[in-house]
Amino acid sequence: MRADVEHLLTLDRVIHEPARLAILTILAEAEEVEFRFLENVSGLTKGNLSGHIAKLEQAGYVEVRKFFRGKIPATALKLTPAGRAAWKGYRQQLKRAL
Amino acid sequence: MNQVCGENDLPEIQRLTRAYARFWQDARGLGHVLGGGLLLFSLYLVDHVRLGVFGRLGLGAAPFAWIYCRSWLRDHYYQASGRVVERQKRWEQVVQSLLTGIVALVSLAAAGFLSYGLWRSFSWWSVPGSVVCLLLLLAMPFLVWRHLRAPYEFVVGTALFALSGLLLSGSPLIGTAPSGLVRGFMAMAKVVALVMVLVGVTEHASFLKLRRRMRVLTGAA
Repeated sequence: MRADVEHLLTLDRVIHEPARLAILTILAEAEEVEFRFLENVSGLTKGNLSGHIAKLEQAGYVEVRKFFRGKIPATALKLTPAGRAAWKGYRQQLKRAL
Repeated sequence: MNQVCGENDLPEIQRLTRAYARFWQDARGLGHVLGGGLLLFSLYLVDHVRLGVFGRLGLGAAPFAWIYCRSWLRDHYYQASGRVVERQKRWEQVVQSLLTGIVALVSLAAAGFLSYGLWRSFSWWSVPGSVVCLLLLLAMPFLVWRHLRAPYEFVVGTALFALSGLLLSGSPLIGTAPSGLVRGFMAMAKVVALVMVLVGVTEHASFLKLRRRMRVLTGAA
């Protein structure tokens, strides 16, 4: 019982937030994802999404790439190896705790 | 108006992203229908119609138009909600490298054979056709690496580009009775082209379902 609580307390706080959890769930299923898709599927606003992405980038979990599609600027994101490892670890911890 | 997804939606988001990402490279939907249809149509024309210069040029350029159309369909139709690059599995990378390696070897051997033939019996008339054929042979490994990943795509794509090489170079092989080996390869390519058309139709149907699921999830009209 105490071990279960300890598992919960050591959960990665950067990931353990609904919006960031949704972002990482999407990123984990692909090599690279465009910002527009994240916005469409997660239902988050541009500003909110940018804020969460900045936090994930700061933690070293995601890599942001800016590019142009024709003349239109676009943004794409991918999980870094550290981000993928953290995501796997988080899921395992959560499974053990539940 | 979009709704913010909840934690209960996460498994659905996961499945949806995986299915959507397939339309980056693996699932081409109507692109596969076009490719399979184009090969069947090209082989029919080559067998039954005496092609003039413009017919040869048009049919020879068609595989390039097909590659362009597939990319256009992906960017403007299948992945219109934003680009999602699919994760390639390890075995897929191995198969892709193997197919590219085989094509590179065959292309180099064919290019060497063609250059030797040109050098042995040089005539200015055969230079343009040989150059076009050489360029296509040298581009083949890149085309396979970049655009022809799935096995049926590989068979149909290489058959289309080989035919394109013969048509654009003005090869006398077009219009003559093919050898047994070539006839066998053409028969196999026709069957694979039919399979590719069916796969494309199935993928397109699954895309329509996926689009409905996405609309439900995001609460769009």
